[in-house]
Amino acid sequence: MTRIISLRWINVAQLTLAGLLCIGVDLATAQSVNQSGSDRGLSDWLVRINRASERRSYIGTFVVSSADQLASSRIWHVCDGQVQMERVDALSGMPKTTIRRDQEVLTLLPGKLEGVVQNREALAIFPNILADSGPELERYYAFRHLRGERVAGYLTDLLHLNPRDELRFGYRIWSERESGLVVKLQIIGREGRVLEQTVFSELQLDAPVSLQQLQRMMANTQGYRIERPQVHKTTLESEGWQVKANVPGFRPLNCYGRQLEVASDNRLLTQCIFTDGLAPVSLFLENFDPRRHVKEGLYVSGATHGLTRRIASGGQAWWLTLVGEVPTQTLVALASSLSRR
Amino acid sequence: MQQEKNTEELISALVDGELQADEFEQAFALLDAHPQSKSSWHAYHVAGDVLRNSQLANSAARDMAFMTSLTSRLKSEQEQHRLAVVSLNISIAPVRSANWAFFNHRRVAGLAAIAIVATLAWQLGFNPQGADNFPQLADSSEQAQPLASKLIRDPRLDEFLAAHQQLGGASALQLPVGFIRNATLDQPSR
Amino acid sequence: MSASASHPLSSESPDGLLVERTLAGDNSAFDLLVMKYQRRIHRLIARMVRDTDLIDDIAQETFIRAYRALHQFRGDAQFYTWLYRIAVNTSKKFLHDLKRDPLVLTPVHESDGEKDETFEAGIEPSSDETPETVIAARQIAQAVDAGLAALPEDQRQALILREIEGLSYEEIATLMNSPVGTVRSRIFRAREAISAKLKPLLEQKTGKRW
Repeated sequence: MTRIISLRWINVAQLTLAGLLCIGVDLATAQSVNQSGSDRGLSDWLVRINRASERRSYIGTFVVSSADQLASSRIWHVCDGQVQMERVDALSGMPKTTIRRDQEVLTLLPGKLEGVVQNREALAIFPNILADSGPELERYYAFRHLRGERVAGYLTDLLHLNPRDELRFGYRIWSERESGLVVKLQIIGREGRVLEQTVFSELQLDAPVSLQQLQRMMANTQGYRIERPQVHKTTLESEGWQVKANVPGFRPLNCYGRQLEVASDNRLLTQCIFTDGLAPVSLFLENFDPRRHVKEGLYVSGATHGLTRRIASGGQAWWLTLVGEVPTQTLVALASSLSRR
Repeated sequence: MQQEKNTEELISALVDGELQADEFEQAFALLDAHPQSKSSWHAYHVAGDVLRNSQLANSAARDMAFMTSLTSRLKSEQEQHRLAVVSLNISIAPVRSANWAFFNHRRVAGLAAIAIVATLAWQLGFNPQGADNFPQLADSSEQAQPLASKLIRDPRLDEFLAAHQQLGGASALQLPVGFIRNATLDQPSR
Repeated sequence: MSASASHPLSSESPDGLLVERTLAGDNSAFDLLVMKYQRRIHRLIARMVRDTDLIDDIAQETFIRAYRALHQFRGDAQFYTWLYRIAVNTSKKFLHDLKRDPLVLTPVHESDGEKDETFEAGIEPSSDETPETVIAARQIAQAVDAGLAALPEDQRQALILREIEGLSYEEIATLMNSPVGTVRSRIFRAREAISAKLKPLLEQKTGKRW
């Protein structure tokens, strides 16, 4: 029996890892399956769309687009009640195959015979807090349920999450009528502009996907050079930082010490995840290096915004990078809320 | 005295790169005419440096001595230079690449009005079947502020973006669609 | 002589503008750049070079070279980054040249009975300090700290947001919920107050000013 934890306080250590993604949350979800669309509140919908990917298998062609960019992939998805697996093959750009088994993710680059194995903790957290998170999210987003048009041939329900302030973007979610599977998603900026869209241009629900075959694929990486980058948990406090005041809705979730090639001197940098429940933001801190850290600035790429800045305190200096699917001013606010202890 | 104070405010704004277009000549005229203004420029920078790094106070103590000896050396250089300068056609235009829209955030007036411009590297020849699934995406040219932004390629930032997509998927949408979205977008930069 | 009417880089930071003006013939504009960066360049060189006299020489040479090469500076990089590289290259060249000079091979500072500050372990690269400059440096740091602490809160906050957080006036105005003009004025008054304490300390012994 898994615990329901409010978005207010999350202790990942208390979550058990085994089968988290496939175990039903509780009675509330059983109810949501039987309710009609108009009766469901936001929490129910969130649980529904998450559970849908737990219960059905599918194969589809997936397209992500924003101004001037189009990326697509082929998706296989299966869950047998214990384990959930997904395979994502790039149809655009460099050949790449990603295979996920619950939180474990293997990324293979066939062109280079290289691969990376990672444990993605974030995938474990949310399914367990969804039943509680509706009210919290509704403080920051106005929720509406509408009838959706056909997507990839399927009837849909359309969920609108309109931001109540300027610190976040809006979301439009098309959920397949029968299963709840998300078949289309739009991130909406100011004046209703679509910043990014993800959609299944083609979808086969309940397609026969062999879990065993995916397991075998994931295990067989012969000929590949596989990296398992070390990531350790840390906190802002232990690194000497504090968050002076929370940006409304956004909470620090987890922090990781990790190595990225771009970090100065290849030393560890710290990556802290912030979220308001829908919009994730990553905050990176590394030692300041005047040779690498040249220009402070703001960046935009589709729905993703970035900010870089130098922070100095007590004779030391750091380089701060913020990246997230949020407006620039949210990144500025997060940057300003950070200070040394 | 009041007027003097106001004009010294120009020096302070010049330090921050926040002068209005019509104030530049005033500021430079002030600097040329009054040694006092130059010492303000110096003191403001010493204050800023020491605030950020108290060890720079060590160097500050010797600033003027250094400046004196440098000036005499510079004078002979400047004389030679003056003779060489006619009209130099200096190109200080930004180098155009592709990909990220970059804004120096001191230039952006109004944080909310950021234009949505171009994006990550690779273009595709992929033609989707369901054309009606593709809406009119935010047209970059409508909102682009050509003077304020430039398009750049930044492999450093791409790597941070990848790290964000990999570990930062803290969203109720991650499992339904976020993970596959990130996996689709996440491209190695090399 | 006035600079050109258009300032493509001017509101990013004044550096580009000062470079433009120098190239257009206004040499005092270069002085302003020196005054802005001399401390950081000095400190940078001191990290690479221990010899007292050499640091000053290299710093001078750095600025001279920058002046000579100014027309090569392209506005798409930061001026300080460009200057930084010149400082590093100049230091390397000096050190390299010194190694080949037989006179330098005999250690200069090993005189009997004379305490050599340069080789004291754990001391920050300010090996060029005399007792006078140590005191002066301390007074300068104290003047800045005291000046900051004595400021009214809104001025202090505006100055910190500008100097330490590196925010633009616009961003500070948003955060402090004030008009940009007010922010500009607060920062100016904060600087004025701190400078009043600083200026006497920055003057040369002869009382000579700019």
